Amino acid sequence: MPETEKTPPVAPPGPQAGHPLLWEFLRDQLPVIVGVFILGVAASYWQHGYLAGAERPFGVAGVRVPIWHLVWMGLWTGYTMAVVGEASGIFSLPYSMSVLQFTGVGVSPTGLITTFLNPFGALLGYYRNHQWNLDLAKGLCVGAILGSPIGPFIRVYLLNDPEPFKAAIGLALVMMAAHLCLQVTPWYIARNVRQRRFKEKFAAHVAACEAAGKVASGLPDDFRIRTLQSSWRRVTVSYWGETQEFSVPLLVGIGFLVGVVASALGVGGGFMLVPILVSLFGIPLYVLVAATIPFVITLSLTGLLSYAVIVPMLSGTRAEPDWSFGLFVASGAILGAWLASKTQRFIPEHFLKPMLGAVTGLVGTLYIVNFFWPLPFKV
Amino acid sequence: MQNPSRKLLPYLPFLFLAGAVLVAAYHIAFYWE
Repeated sequence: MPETEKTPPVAPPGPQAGHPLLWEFLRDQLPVIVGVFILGVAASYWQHGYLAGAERPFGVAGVRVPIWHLVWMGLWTGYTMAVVGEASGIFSLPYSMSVLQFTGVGVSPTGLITTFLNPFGALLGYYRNHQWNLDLAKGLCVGAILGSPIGPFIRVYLLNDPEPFKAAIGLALVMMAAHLCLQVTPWYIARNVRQRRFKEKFAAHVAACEAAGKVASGLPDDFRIRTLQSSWRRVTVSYWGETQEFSVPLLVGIGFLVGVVASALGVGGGFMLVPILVSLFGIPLYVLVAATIPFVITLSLTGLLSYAVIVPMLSGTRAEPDWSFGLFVASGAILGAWLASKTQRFIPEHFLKPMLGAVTGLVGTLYIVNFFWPLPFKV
Repeated sequence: MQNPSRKLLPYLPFLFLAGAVLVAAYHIAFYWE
């Protein structure tokens, strides 16, 4: 018998052999996190002429805040939101306004810097896991390109003052809270047949991996989101034994609507897009990211361009972001989102989702109430 | 053998939230003008 048949396969030698997760972090995440942080330092000198932080204020934001606090804000909002399948923007925006007191128009484009960069850390992982299909994403992305340049004009003309803007954010928070709480109800779980079948298959895959003595933190290697047919009218994809057809004009319309609202607020739009796509099409979350991640990146980039270039050019109003503020938050958010993707399946989401829903719902309600009946304390 | 630190993982989001409340309180106390 040849020697190779007697011996079990040996892991290839190299730094990745002993600690694959650590190796993945060092190879994919750390360079991005450090790079974004260094860009933040450079942006501070470029935009303000000094390193802003605890001693000297961020010029556009007009607030003093230690740099570690911004990285921490990105980390905890990125982590807690990604763990429940949302993005950090809708959480970090109210925190920036109410705790850090960054209430100017610049808070919206600054939020878009984070939502633009945040998905890049996870993007590599999704690409390697084959949770990737640009045919599925293209309709939404076209909608985002058409809609997100409009949102900044709504922000500058209609939501310029902090109070109405906070009320608009409050509405978004209440929507997200309702969706978070709804997700754990038996009615919702029973309704999403595809989601349930996907979860059952995923649980079987995890059990098989654990029985073989391996740790499963992702999808099987042969997972693919395949395009069966794609035109400007319809796109049909298949994944793990499921086939789904989508109307491209409908996806463009959804992308446009979410693009207008999200860029006006300065968030990625996941808080609207995920409930819409899940309730209309019942797409499992593992497949949803193939559409939402490219959408959020496109929306954030075009929204940011509109705030920084188109709005000042056409209206004469300055609405530039605080680049360093946004980049410091993004460096923490990238780490948080990656941590969440690796630990998500150990987290008791049936408890966490209603809890986060209660917190966001309370903050949202306070913002709305404060707009109609000013509260005796600052929100 | 299971890594003992994995037992802490389910509590991680709650530790993050508790940390966020503490840091926010610190910021309000020392940086609000």
